[in-house]
Amino acid sequence: MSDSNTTDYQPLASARLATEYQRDWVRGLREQIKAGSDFAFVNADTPHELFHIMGLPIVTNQWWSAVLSAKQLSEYYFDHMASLGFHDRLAKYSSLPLIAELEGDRERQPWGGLPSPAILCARQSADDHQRIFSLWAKQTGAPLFLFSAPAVPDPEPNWWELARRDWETLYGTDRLDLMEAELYQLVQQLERITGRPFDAGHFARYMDAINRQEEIFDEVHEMLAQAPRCPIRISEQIPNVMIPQWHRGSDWALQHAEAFRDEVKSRIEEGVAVCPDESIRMMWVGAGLWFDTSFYAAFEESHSAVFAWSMYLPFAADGYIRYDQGDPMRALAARVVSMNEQLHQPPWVNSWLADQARRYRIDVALMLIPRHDRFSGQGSLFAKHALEAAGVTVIEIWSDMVDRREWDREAMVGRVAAVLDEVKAKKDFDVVN
Amino acid sequence: MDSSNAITQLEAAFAHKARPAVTEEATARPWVGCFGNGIPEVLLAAAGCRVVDVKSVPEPESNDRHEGINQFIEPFLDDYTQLFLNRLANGWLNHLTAIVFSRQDAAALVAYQYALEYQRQGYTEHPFPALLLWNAEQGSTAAVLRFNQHQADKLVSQLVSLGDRQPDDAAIATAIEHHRSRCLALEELTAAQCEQRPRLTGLDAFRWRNAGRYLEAEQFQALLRAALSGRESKPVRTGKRLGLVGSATDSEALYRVLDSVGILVADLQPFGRIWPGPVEGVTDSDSLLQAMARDPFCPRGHSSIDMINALADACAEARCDAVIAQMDQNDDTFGWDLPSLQQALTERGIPVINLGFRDFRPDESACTQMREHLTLELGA
Repeated sequence: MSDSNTTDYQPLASARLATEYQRDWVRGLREQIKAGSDFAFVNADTPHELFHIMGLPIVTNQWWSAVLSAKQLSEYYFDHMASLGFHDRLAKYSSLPLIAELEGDRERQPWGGLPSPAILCARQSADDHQRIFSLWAKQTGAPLFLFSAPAVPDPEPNWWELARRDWETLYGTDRLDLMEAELYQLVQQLERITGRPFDAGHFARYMDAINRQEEIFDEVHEMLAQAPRCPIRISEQIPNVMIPQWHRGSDWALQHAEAFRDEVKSRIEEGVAVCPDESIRMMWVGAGLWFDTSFYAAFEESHSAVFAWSMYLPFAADGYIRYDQGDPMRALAARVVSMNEQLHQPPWVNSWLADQARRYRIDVALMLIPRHDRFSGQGSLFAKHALEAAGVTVIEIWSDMVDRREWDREAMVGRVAAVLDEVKAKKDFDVVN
Repeated sequence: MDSSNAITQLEAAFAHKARPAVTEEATARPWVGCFGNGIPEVLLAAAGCRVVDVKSVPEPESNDRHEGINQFIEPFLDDYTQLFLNRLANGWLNHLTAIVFSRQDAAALVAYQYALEYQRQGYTEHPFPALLLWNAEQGSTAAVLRFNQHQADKLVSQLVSLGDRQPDDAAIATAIEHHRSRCLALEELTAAQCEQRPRLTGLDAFRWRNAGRYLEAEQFQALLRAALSGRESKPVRTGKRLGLVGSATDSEALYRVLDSVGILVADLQPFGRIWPGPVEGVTDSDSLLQAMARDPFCPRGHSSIDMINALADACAEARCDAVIAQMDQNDDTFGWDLPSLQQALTERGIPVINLGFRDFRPDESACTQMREHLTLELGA
């Protein structure tokens, strides 16, 4: 995941450190596994906290998918997917690791691939998650823990204002009761796998540590929103946020979050900017474009246009901070019970994106709409209208986050550049008049 | 009752779908639409509601697009979601007091979310029926059953607030009896469809079965039994015995294609099943909710492998010679099941013929292609 068309932009030290940490962690995990340790393979919207607290390492499905894609392996695996009889319109992001597993050649995978997990875990937020993980369970023999995912009957648009403290009202007592009960069921299963008892006191302290980590990310988010010019690329925001998120609440994650914050703060104080003559601020709506992250820098030189926003940093605060009100397990239920839905379901996604665009003074949004990942694509047009109502020019990108076969970079650069020309001309006209 | 008269009534009910609401005289009862399988219609009936399906699309309403709501509809949404939202925005469902959406039905959930947001943003040109979500989960744990019980209480309370009556035990018992009676009649239809010497066409069975989605349970079971009683007068059908699996379809053209190449003896797509869910062991609302939470055919059950085995077993019990798989253009679930289902059926000695993606309403050319493909594969 490197940037190619840079001039004098200096990468963040913290981004390199995060990537190195994760690579070393995976290698270490492989060594542990070879020595007989277990690990869990889990979806991103599951309670990673319980695996961490029980001492069972996890590999996250969507992270592994992004790694496979960044290593340019997706085309090979999607061809293999077709040879297995799966049609080409099935969701790719959540299934790329499954296809790699079914393909079976671990040496083809980064870092020697993943062995069979001790447990699989998913939430039925999207209808295909159960199917993908059931196939994985069938293939590996690993037990599958599947969380229920009842829908949200009456979603409050301003979810991020309620979610940190008033989550009982926001998510509903009945849904939280069910989620909390299922969290305790998972705890029992993890106790059996690890042979360790659950320590409620330790868990409460750990949940506090996660909130502290997310508060640090919230600080960074506020700094970036208010900075006169964007000081870092989103391609560096993402590893600095997501790798600590996969290890959230650990000493390393907190220390890294602080180091990232301090580096961003210094840059802002020193007046560092991705584009010294920044004139257009953009947001990337949707999951990362994992196979072509250098695209995020494609308009810096030509248009002084910088991507100032991607969801991962602001969502670290709004999607994760849940003050426990004396009940850490219920707070965890509140964090997980609608995690994915907040990013895709109207009115949550449209209200949040419009608010974020205002705070970041966004001019243009590039909206990734995957045709064949319905759960991720739903709500896109409500979001588009909300952003336009907030004064943002929206460019729809009908593509996929891990399948490069639908991506024509040259054509996309041309398309976006034409819009940026118009936006720049209008801004120049507004300044003159 | 005369068999041919019963058939006429069933086919008329199916042809009009949700529309008989505007012509029926008993306007005193609130009409409630149901979107998707898995909704506890017993509770709706016990509350005095007249229940009709709103997922299946009447032909005259399948092309009426509404400009306002279409600006929010992504082309990859389920066809049933898209058409429902257009019908709702066009006012074709204004005769309903409420619409209940099943969480278990992917098309229904998105329809609920989009309709709710469209309404919240104030775009509606006329008041929508009350939009209610049946938010139940699958499972057998105490937590799931408690959750589902809460959903049932909430649904009833919402209906009461709309003017329906609070269902008492007697009303629930009566509704359960009607529900059971309808399920038994539907089982008789399923049995007739797969008997040794079948006489029903797939299209007949499809229309008769789904006519029940627009009729009172008691009336429907009587009509269906009367219709079935006359089937001996029909000629015995010969040909390959076929199963149908895949995405939900209410395309009559597809059934005509299947009838032209074989005998449909196991209709296992959502509109081919007995709805709204299992009835075995149901004696009260608690046992009803328990049975519904353990529906082996529910697409949101806890194991797709169990569902696949249930489908393969049903095909084997119906002595299928081949099973036809089909998917809508935006399928994102059945495609994951198909290779495993193919394997499970092969293990039972049944080949699968995959029609691939089909349009919501296949045109003549598409039907010809499907027919030729099936004829070639079946050697019919």
